[in-house]
Amino acid sequence: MLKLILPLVMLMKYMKVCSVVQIGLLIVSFMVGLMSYHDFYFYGIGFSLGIDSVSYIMILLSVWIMSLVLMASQKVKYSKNFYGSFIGVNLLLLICLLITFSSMEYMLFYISFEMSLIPTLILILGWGYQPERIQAGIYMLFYTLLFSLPLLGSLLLALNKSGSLVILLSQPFIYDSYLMMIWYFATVMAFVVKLPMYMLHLWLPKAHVEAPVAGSMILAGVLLKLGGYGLIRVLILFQFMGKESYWVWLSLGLVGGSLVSLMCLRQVDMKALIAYSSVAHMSLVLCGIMGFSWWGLSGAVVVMVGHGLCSSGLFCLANIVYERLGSRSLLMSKGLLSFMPSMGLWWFLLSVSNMASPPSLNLLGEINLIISVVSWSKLTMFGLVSLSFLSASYTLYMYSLTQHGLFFNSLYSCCSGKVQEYMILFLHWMPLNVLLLNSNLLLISSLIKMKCVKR
Amino acid sequence: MGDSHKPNLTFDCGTDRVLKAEDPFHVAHQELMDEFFRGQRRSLSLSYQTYENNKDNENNKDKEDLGTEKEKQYKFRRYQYSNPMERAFGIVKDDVVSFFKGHKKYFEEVKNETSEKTETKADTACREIYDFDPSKSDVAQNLWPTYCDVLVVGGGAVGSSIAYHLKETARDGLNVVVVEQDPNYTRASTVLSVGGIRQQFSIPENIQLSMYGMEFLRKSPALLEVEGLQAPDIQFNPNGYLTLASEEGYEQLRANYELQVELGAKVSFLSRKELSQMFPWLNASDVVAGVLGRENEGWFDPWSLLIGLQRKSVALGAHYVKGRVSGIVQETVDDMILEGTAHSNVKRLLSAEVTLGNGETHLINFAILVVAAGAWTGEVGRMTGIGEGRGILNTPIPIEPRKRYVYCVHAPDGPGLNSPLVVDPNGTYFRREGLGGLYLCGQSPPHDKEPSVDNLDVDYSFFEDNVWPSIARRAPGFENLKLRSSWAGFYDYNTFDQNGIIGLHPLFSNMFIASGFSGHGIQQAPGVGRAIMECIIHGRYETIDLERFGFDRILARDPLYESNIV
Repeated sequence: MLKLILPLVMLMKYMKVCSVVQIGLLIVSFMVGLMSYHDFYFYGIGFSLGIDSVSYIMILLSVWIMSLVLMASQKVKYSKNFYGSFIGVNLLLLICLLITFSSMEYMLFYISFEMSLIPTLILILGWGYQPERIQAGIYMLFYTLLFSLPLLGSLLLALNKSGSLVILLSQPFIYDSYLMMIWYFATVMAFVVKLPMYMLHLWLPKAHVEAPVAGSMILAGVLLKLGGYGLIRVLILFQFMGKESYWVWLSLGLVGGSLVSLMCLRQVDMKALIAYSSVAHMSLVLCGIMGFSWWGLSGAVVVMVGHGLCSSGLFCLANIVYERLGSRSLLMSKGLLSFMPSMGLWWFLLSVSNMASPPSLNLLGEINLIISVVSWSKLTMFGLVSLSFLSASYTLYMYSLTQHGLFFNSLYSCCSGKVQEYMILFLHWMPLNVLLLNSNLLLISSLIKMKCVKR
Repeated sequence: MGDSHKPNLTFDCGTDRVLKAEDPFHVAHQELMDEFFRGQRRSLSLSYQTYENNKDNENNKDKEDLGTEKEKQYKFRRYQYSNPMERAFGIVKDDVVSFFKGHKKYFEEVKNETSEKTETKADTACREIYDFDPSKSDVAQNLWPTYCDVLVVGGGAVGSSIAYHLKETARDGLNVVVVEQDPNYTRASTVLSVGGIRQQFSIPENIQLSMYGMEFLRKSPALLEVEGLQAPDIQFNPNGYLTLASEEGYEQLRANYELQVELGAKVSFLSRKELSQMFPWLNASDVVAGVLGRENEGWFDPWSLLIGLQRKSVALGAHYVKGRVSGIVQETVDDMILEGTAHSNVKRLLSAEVTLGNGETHLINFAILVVAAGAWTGEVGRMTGIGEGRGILNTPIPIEPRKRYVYCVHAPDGPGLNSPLVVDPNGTYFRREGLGGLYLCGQSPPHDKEPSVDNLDVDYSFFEDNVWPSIARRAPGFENLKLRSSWAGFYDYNTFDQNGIIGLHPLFSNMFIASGFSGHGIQQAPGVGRAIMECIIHGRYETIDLERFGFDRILARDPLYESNIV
């Protein structure tokens, strides 16, 4: 891990020179990519830091998205809005995320999980659009903090009971009483709020709408996956309780996801629409993870990666429109196909990936998730039908509303896209549709099985 | 990096501060990197610049050099904590502090409510509608709308109608802010107007606009109803307009009448005999014919309409801000080349600098600007550079204030109840006001004798020399009258062709103009509001096609005259 953290810390010295940081981050992500040739059963990289296949995928995703974030935030540089501190905050966030994803101990994981909130808050409040409305930051902060305090308590209880919090060494708890249910919910709630699940999702649209593009991209791209990743790590301890309570998460996920998708169709703000669609995607991920099946787990990881790239790309597109029009309102950003024709390509590619159409990673993940959920009970088909259908409908709605129609100023088209914007969107889209060809890199089950066979 | 190379101007998007250079080497290095990248992107770059209006406005004189005095003016939070790290914690601190302070203030306010003096109508409107008040120290609730979707400059009838129609269609989809410099409306044309509505025009679009205006007025108690408040009473008097024509103007009158009937207006053509029969008090000796509007014509109370529109817009979520637009920040859109030169003249407006009553200046960033500033539209146009540039920018917005007098007279032998708004062939008009024998009258002065617009003082000699003889000749009952009161108001006079200018400006990608109605604005306000709403939300005119009223006719020198009846 030192080979990753040290370059990042050294990059912070070059905070004020954005080109060095951008190229540096891309080099770091390349180096992370090189690590993929390692044997991933367990890759110990330091004191209580280790990478396993899920961790590795998340680390790669976070470094990739962060480099795209810095590329997309050029406006902060042009308006000389303290670009140095901005890069510094982003790099700090990246370091927190790297530690979170590679921590082999629950306490270190918890600390860095909470630590990643602070740079996000500073990003939202400091560089956001309407900093006078602090509801966004407060919601995000307090939702997460309120539910993660019980997590601290339960981790300490686990330490007390089993003597060690190292992930590999912890045994599943086989006590079987109602008190265990409280312990289970206390632990799981923190991640479920971060994911976010339907009833606890209010912070997400607010945070996304008020955040600058960097904040939105990193939130949608990586921070939501913290919840999923945490669930994957923590559920091993609670296998027995998890089996009993799967129906809770399944119903909340399916019904909540459908309701949130319906709300998507009513949005008037582009970013709010994409934010609600994130909730819908993540609710399906929740169903997959909680189900304790290989299909579910691998589908969840694939959807996390795919959604991270896709939502982050859509936020980038929304920001491109905002920079040109000055408004995020869907009522005014219509007819973009006549206004920015070439950007329509990226709108299309990212929208169809959002609605999980072939050949995108989202499709692969959703197929796996659907299989895992249906194998638990055939009745879930109803929820899945509505979720998939509504997901396609709101994505189509967003694409059609923004692209088709009349632009209010039909006198002009505009600079249809700078090369930098194309590059950012290409780098978002390329893994989505190209990684599908070698998806055994992402499917956990096949990875583990591959390794077992190799041995 | 010599002295001649100044760093780029200060009003960049987002903030308005230049990062102070720490050391020369750093500055040089930064500028080298900037130049390098700017050079590479020259064809597609966006260059940021401010329009400097050195001639007119002193406020804008030293925008280049943001010294500490200027910084102090920007007292609001974004500038108070300009460092984002400080700001993040400062905002949280402010919120916590005001949470505790807010409770104390509530208890103080409850005590003060018992001693309230009677407010005038204007004060009530001001208090109810204008929600940003810099004297309020409760920072958390005093939210300055830094970002909005549509900024309407001017809160008169047209501006409020635009805000109302936008919010009515878009609800929460668009954030609309209206900037009005004078919430008591002491100089606005809306409340000083006579308030007539007629369909007797010669341009079809004008007729259609007025017809929609009447439809809107009819439905206004239902449309403008706000929960908890009484719906505004427009006080519409359906007595109609009577346009008289002498021998020379008969043909034009006839042609106009045919057009109006074709478009569905309910008007009647009256010969001299019928005129004398219908209006025995009328002296129709030198009049050949007249057109009377039977339905949908008359006069109403423009103040009620304005308040109704304002209240409803605010209830739907529009924000009214008390301030004066003193500058507009713009940027050149480099990739649109319209005029065959290597430089692009196309500009996009980014934000407006609003000066409040106590001297503070704030910025409002917007996506679309609608200039509905009435008589001061030309001035607002000059702030963006229209009229002070090269090429297309050389043509100013030809709207300027023109003073018109309205006299209120008491004539016991006057026309009585059965009197429409009579328009004489020489331009004089009079109408009944109320039921007590009061009449309003006025006349447009001849072109060479326009009164000065520095003030709103009334010229009584104009009444005695021009207006009184004219109305006395038309209706002999006016010979015995007493001048009760009078006032003066501004027409938003379009010097080009005396008709409204509605639509986008060709060189600014997001600026709408909706002004210049030259005396018939109050009746067209609802129609124009709806038209601008359609332009913004639907992208084109859907109900009434107002393409001919665009700014292009000014550039093409193609006037759209309303043919006057002589």
